[in-house]
Amino acid sequence: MRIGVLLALAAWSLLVSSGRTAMTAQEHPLPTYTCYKTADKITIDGKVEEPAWKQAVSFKDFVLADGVTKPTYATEFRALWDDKTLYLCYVCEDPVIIATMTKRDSGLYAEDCVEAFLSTGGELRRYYEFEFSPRNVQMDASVYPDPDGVNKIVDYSWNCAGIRTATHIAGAGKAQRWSIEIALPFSSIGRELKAPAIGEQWRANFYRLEYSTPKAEAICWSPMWGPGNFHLRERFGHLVFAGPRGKE
Amino acid sequence: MNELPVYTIRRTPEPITIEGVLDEPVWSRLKPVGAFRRVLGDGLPRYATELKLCWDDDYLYLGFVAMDPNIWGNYRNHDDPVWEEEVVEAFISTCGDVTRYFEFNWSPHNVVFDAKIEIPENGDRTYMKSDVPWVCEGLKSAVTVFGTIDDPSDVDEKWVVETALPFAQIGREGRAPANGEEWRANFYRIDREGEGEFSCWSPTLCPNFHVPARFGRLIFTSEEA
Repeated sequence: MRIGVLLALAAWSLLVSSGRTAMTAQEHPLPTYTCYKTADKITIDGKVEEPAWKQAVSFKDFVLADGVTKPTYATEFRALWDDKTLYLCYVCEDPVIIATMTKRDSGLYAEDCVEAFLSTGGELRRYYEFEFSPRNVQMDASVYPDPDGVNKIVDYSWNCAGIRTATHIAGAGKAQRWSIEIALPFSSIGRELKAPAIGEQWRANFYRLEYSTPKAEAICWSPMWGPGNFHLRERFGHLVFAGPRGKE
Repeated sequence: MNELPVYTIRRTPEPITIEGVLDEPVWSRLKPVGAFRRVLGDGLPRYATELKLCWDDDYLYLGFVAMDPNIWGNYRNHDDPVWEEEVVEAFISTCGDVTRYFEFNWSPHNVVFDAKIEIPENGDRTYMKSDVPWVCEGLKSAVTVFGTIDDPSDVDEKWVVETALPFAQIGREGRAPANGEEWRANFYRIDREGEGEFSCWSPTLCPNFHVPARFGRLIFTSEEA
């Protein structure tokens, strides 16, 4: 009888402890990125040199889709906005750049690229998908997931009117890096095609794909905590539109 | 920009037949050296070049893929100055002294230029010596054109060079490299559309290909791809 109780207790504690350490994807909190409003000019030349970028939150803690593994190469992401435009930039450490495609709306995800998924309504009924290559080639699409969450319609014919992008390469060898500046007009992607109100929240995810590593890496802001699936909209983080960054 | 690129060259476990088609399975297992950059370091060229290398007991194998909307060439004879037109090139220093290297050019018509070069590390052409009559005996190469060569009326896709360089000619003491042996090299592409574009693996940072100080590092490993 005592042994039975001991065994039952052992089994119970095993169950409880494994439950604590093995969280399901849903239990991991979603990240938040605070996107500050800027009054300063950003020239889209890919160099990420404008003083305005210092006002942006710098995010560098990208992780692979499993939520745990650190990527081989560093990526830095920043975003800002003004009355007309959402600005994104990525700086990618990359000693070996794999990029040959040149046509808009190609499957750029098959080579080195960065990606942005933006759901402006917050309800995730529709989101925009963008891919950008080191050659400054872009893919833009409007995605409508089915309510069942399994299927989706990807409309590649959608083009983000007024989008501006530029890439830049610097360094060499191990110090080589490519960077991109992206300007997305709210008149094309905003809620009701307008700029956000201060405090407005979108859902979003930001990615990079890297192919020169021994295994290709799916690099995420908000990971899936499982196999890579960039369309897993339940894992899109919160993109919050804030006013100008306060003086520290 | 003092850093130089590095590429680890793995052995091929299977024979490679030089036919201008990178269809042996090993080619798909190799990583490329990375997108060529404009020689001055100021960005990526219009038309991409991809290059992979591997080796076995007898040869160093190179597979170039040159994206090119207009593939053409007038030269037809060995050692013609094909760099005046459109080429891919390899400068390979094998002996441990980077001021001495082999130069190879391949044109879309599979015309090969080969020479031995000596020049100071900084690329001062006043002191450059070339041995053009030298022939790399046993060099094999083949080119496939995805498009219509010498026909500007349509848009081509790319040309592919598959080539084997014999260690008997270029290896240290005429032998294959040892595991871990390191050579220095640079790889180049010239495209003549518009004003022309000069690109390479390791930017030379000046309008000159012959800058040994900027050669990247090739490291041979006995690990198989």
